[in-house]
Amino acid sequence: MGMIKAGAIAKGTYLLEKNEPFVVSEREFVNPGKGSAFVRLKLKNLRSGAVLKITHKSQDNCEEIDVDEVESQFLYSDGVSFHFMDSSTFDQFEVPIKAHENAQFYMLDGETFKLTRWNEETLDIRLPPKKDLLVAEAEEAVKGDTVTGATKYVITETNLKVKVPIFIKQGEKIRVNVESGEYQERIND
Amino acid sequence: MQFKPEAIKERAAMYRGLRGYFETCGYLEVDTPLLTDNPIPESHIELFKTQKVQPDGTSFPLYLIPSPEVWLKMVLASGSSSLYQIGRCFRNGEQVDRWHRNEFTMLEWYGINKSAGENLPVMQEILKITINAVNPEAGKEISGNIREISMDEAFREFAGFSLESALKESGLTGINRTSPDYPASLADISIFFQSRLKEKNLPSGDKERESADDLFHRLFLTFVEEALPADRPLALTHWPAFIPTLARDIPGTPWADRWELYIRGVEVANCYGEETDERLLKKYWENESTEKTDPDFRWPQLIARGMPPCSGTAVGLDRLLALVRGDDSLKGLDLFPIHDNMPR
Repeated sequence: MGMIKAGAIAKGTYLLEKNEPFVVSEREFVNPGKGSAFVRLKLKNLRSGAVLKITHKSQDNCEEIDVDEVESQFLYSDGVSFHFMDSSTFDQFEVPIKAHENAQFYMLDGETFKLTRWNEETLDIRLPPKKDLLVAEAEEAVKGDTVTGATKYVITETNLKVKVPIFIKQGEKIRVNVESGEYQERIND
Repeated sequence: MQFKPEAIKERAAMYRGLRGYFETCGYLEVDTPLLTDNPIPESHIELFKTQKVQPDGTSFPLYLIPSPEVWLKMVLASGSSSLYQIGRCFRNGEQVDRWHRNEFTMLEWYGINKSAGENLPVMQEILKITINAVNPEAGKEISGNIREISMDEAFREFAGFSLESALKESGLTGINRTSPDYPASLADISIFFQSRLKEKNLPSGDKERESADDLFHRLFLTFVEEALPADRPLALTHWPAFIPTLARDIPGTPWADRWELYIRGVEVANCYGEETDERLLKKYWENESTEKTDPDFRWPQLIARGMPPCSGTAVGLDRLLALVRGDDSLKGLDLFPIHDNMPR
């Protein structure tokens, strides 16, 4: 997108630092006792999520990048890539599953998600904090089995293995925490 | 309106305490103009500028002072005793954020025949007085004894190298900026700092034009400042003399007679043993002036020829008040912030 003076950077600005795409999460101006104006930045790597702290002179040139939030429909997965369609242009594009492994468990065909895109690369797929999923396979609870505790494992329609309470049956819907993959509650439709 | 009414009373109590203390020390309170036609040049500070309009319609520029230093030094040069001022200062161009305002209150005092280090007990008293007036329950971060760390110690601990060795090897010990070798020494230390920054893959600015003090500050702000212990007030002493200031050099060393006080990681005060050498003062004026062809040497001459040896300390009273109150910004102290005054 172009050069921006470090002093003009604000929270939410997208930058290229050390060839990686970042978003500015914090910005503080610092004027040392006697000297030029500096700015301290806290940056979040849009690919890895890692935090970078960096101090620039306000006059330093930084590279601002064009990052877009693209509303996209998830079409299907072919095991290697997710196939999406841009909801406004109807262009189709692929996103490697390897870069967003967690997303494969929480996207159902046809659903729409906000994708952070830069330079033909998808940096982030915005997933909801919780997702309701159908239980595709459930082990049968063995009557009287209290040795293993009152839980068992199920497989959801998206192939996610979740530890659930013993009473959950195949065909039921469960709510799962997307970040941790943990069971939250049973959903009664 | 969002200001905290008790903050008004606390500020008044703080001022009463400070005035009482300086009275017992025999320091004269001075009240000097906020407008000047001839500010001390400082290349990194932008001033508020206005026009003085004459009755005949002509006008000339006047500036709001960034600090009362220029006046207080004139008063000292006229033969006064040690003195102090509590007053408003103005800095344009700065972003208003947690600890910065375009207009703020400074306590500035000058002790005759005192070196910078000799002002640390005075600073400790000022902290005590403010705590008693405003928040006697204030924690050790403010009420504890001031810890002294030199810049060299801080660099060895947090940046992993000896600043003193680097400065000595560059020839910056015992010479000053009127020496013909000075530019070469500055170039040497710049190369050293640049290599340190590049080693850590950090921004180092324009290779040809970045000044030695900008390179130093990059290293300082990245490795040192945020790592300084904040469990007690901290005085960071002995700053490199090559940073252009009005602080005098400590002879035979690469250091200036200078300290900065941090409380909870926030810079609250600074102190210089004041420069009185006429050549060095003129060199500073020349370098800092934007009027490079014809810098106004009235002030350096008056200071050099009249001001006694002394040290000056400046304390950001708004920051001190906020920190003693336990606030984490200046927000609660703003009585009528500019944005509140905008017409609807």
